[in-house]
Amino acid sequence: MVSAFASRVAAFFLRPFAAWERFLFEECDALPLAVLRIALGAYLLFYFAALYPLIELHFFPPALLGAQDWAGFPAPLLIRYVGSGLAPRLALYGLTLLACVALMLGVQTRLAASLLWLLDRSWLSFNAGHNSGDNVLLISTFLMAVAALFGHPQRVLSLDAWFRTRETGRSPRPRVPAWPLRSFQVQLVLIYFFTGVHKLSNPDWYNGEALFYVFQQPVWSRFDLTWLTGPVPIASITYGTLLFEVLLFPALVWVPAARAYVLLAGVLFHLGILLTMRVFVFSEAMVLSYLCFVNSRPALVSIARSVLRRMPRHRIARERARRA
Amino acid sequence: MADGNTRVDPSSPTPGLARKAERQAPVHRRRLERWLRGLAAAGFALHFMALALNSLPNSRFIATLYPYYGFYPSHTGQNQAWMMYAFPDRHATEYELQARFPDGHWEHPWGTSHQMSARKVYFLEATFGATRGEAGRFFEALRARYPEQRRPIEIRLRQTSRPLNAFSDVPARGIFAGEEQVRDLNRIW
Repeated sequence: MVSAFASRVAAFFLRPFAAWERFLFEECDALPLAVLRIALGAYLLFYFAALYPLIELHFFPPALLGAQDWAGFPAPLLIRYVGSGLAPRLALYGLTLLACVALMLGVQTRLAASLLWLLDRSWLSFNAGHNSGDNVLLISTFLMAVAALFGHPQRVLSLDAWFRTRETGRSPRPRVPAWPLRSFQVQLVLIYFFTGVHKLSNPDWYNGEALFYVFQQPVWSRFDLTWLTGPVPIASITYGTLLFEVLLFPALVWVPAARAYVLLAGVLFHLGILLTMRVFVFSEAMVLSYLCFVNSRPALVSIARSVLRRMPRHRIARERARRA
Repeated sequence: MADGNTRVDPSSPTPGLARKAERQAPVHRRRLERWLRGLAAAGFALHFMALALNSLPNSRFIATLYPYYGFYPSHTGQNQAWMMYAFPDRHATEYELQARFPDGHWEHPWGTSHQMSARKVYFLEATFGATRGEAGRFFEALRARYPEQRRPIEIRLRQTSRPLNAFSDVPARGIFAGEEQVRDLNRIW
């Protein structure tokens, strides 16, 4: 009887752990992770190109930052180990762009992803001028590097997979464990949830007034929003933001039936920020991360089809086929 | 038979043990995989807990636990509290970067704050809040990027701000609660 009781107690604690294991290690299609890898590599290429002016200011001679600035910095920083001249720093920047291309194409993916994380860490070692959007990308490169070390993002849609197929004569199994995508998903949920939690610590937010002060910032608005002072629109947008961050996204994105609507709401939310505010990188980085929730082949195919349907070349080809 | 292949001879001294080992190898492998999977799952739980703790506001509770988990987010670059726009500025603030040349004319090295990229504005905002020494290093680095025969003799970072009325006081008292305040950080050569 004692052993039956003990086994029931053990099962009570082990059952959630088993569910957690299933959540992390159930097998899923390798395609969504590969698409995320390609999209991240492509975006990072554009991102580092746009970051060049600040990289040049901070790291290229006459550099704003020197060895004394990295003395207490948590490791690892590749920039510490290259010379302070223009040529080595420029070479490191070129290597960064090359790593982005390699990640996108899936060439030497383990090396490319790990190098990209280390290089991103180095380039973002300046304090002034980088925001939470940069940190979202830095975290994404870390998670992608860890996944790439286990060979998952490059399982399909990569030159690594193509070379392996040519060598062995066998296609790689297009199934991977869920944990790479889950790490991106939980990270995204944590970002929204804690952003909302921190906002609630300020009375301006739970009184529904915070966005009034945001819209009065002339340098951070793309166009004049100072006329928006009515309590109803201000409170609607303020509470809507809180509702989305604290409740809607973190809770409903896990519900398959609601996921598409939540992601669409997120895209519209970030599009609204992008169109009205001069917030850099964050909106794009978050929407890019949404790909981790498009974790089924049919969903990806339907998105690709809806994008293609809108492209002029395909519209013309369809029109001709219809007339013929 | 000397054909180069090694075959298990059923009449050899320990066939039973060899066959038993062959049968048990997958069982051992599966058990090892289960243990490794359990360890990895526990590792992921710790990873997410560290990130969650790192995102919580500072408190004695967090300060007590920080030595045990803080190294992980800080070394991997996941150190971010996600406090964006939690405390919006109650001043309408603008920044301008200006350079004065020997003939007395002023220029905007990076364009006006509405012309330059948002990232550069963010950088100027942080530089204004930095120490004088750090701001001075920025002015030196910026000046050094001009050709030697055309270097400015003064670089100035100007902050213009007006305090905003509390939202509950708008529109009765208008948007602004006071006069425009101008603060400068500059370096003269």
